[in-house]
Amino acid sequence: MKNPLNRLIASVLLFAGGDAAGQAHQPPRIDIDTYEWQFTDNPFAGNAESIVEGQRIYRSTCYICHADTGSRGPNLRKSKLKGQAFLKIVINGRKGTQMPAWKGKLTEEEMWKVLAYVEAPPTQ
Amino acid sequence: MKIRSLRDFLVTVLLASFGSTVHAGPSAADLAAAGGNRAEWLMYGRSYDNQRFSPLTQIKPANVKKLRPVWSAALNSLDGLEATPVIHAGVIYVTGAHANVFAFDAATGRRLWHWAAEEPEGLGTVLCCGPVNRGVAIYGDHVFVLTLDAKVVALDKATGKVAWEKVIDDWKTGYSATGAPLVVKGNVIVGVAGGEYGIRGYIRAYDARSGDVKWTTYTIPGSGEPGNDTWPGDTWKTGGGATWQSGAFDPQLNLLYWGTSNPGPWTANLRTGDNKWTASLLALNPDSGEIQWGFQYTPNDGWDYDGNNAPILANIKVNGKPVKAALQSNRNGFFYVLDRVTGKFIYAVPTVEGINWTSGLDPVTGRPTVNETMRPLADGPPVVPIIPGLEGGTNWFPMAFNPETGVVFVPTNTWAMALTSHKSADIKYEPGKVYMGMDYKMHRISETIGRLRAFDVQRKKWLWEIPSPLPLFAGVLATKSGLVFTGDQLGFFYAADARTGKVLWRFQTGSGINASPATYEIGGTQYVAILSGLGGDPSFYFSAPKGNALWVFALDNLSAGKAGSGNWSVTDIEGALTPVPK
Repeated sequence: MKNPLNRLIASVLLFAGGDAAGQAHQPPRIDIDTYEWQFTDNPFAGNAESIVEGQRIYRSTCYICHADTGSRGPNLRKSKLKGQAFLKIVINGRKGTQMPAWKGKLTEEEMWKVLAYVEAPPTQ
Repeated sequence: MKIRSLRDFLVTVLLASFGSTVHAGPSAADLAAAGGNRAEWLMYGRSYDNQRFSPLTQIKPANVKKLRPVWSAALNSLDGLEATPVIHAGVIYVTGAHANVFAFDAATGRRLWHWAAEEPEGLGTVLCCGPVNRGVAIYGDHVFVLTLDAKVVALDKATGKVAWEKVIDDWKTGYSATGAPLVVKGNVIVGVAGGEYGIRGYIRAYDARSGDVKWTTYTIPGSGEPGNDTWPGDTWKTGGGATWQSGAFDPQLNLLYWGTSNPGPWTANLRTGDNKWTASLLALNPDSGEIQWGFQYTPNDGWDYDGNNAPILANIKVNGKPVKAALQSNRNGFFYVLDRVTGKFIYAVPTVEGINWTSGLDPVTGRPTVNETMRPLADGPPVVPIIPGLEGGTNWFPMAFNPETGVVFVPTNTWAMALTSHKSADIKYEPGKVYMGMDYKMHRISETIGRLRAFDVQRKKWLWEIPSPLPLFAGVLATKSGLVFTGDQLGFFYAADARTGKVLWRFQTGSGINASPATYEIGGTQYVAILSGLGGDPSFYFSAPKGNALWVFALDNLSAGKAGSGNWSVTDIEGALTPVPK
């Protein structure tokens, strides 16, 4: 580092380095305050057919992290989040965790069915 | 503008470029000779044979207790670290989660550059096992990394700027990439993840300079190709066989070795047949991609027993006869010794006790005899306990081999799982959706789950083991001086005597270790580097503090006043706070 030639070259080449791309890209989020909800409460709660459909969606989307009783993600059957508060997390994901945003992947109806499934008494 | 630090940065880059080598970076010949390169660590497995055996001897059993941290660096996110550092010309290259790539001065820890992948919205919905990455490959002027949205990116080795990038596949259909690429004869060889999302796996070669595709070889044979008849109907199109780890290469035989994942969905009765070449080791011609032979560890797998771990290539004697061997410790609970010229089975031994999915392997062919009651079937009853569980006797974390003693150091886990199949009518492929058809749960079956085990491959004898109450998920480093380095989920990075298994030194890194150590030498000082940060699969099964640190160690009498003492800071002071407005 003490070689004056190297210092000279370094000075000439200023601005060539630094952080290449900055921080990891954050995807845009739905503004939950202005989001126009289809439902204020779960229209599928307790509906046997919807619970079965909710289980099917859960298995192909949520199960790999949340499993039956929690795994990498928390046990959703014990979630304290109710109604729209639960869906808000599903829609936008949870910042700082591995919970992704499911908006665009699941419809609001499908999310309510998942909630109906996790709030239903376990069948097994 | 922080003139002094930028200037120093550039000086470092210039020194890195011209200080020790005339050309810009390792050549194809340098990579082929990486095993004999004492001071550096040029690729994921250190050398093409993946032995992770360093000829360095400064740190040895007699003095390892003087090992001290000399610098540490934070790597952005808390989502798990699984990489092996690569060290060349005084620079250490590592990846954090989300395919973040970092270059540091390997002696002082000063950050030279950082590159962050831009991740599309919704990407997290196709990642089975966390946003992890296992490291880079270097060749010529470039550092190569694979991203979670299934791209291969070439970065300028001096600046971290993108030289070229190519989309490997459409992440929205479940393709992803987490492994370290392997550069062979000027081609960047890449594998894909997504075995739980109904992908059809392949291995692909890109020209390292232009990024042009040289060849693509599917692991599952297409219609009319040999082996396609091991799949009923169209099941081969969504049958898995992912290639989510790195490979091995034998320059003399001109053979590239690459492992393949489990088939999908997990319900084996929906794809009756051997399901070639899933849960297999493939040997390919690296110039054309043509498959030369395959060895299938687990035909018609129904337990998620991936065969992805890249083999260690070793020249050993078995029953007095010289063998060019490929060694692999498998998820299915067996350690395999194969003839790497022909792909023929030589022998296998169980790595864990209580294996119950099979009654044993055919001594000639290695084919398992399945206990059919332990195979979960669509529309069938739950099966429990299955040993080993899906996370395996040995998962992806690489073992190490001492070619002078013929001893391999294998991290193993003894645990079980419960599998409950879905109804066949409910198991439908949808692009980008989980395609498993199975609920699973891992279970503890004894106080000890993890064991680092030493095995003499020539005498077929287990020598010692180091137990751990939690599963092991770290790779291993062996040194010529007779040390073995690895880490555990308790947060300890430790060194053991390779002869006895006695732990001689350990250091608490603050988070679980799911990565693999590397060692290197600069200016007469030997360093050992390890990433510490819980994430990936272990984080499914227990909670513990997360971390994101690169730790580097050296003997204290050699490092004092040298390493870590550079006049630089981790942040840009200028611009950190603005003056009070007037």
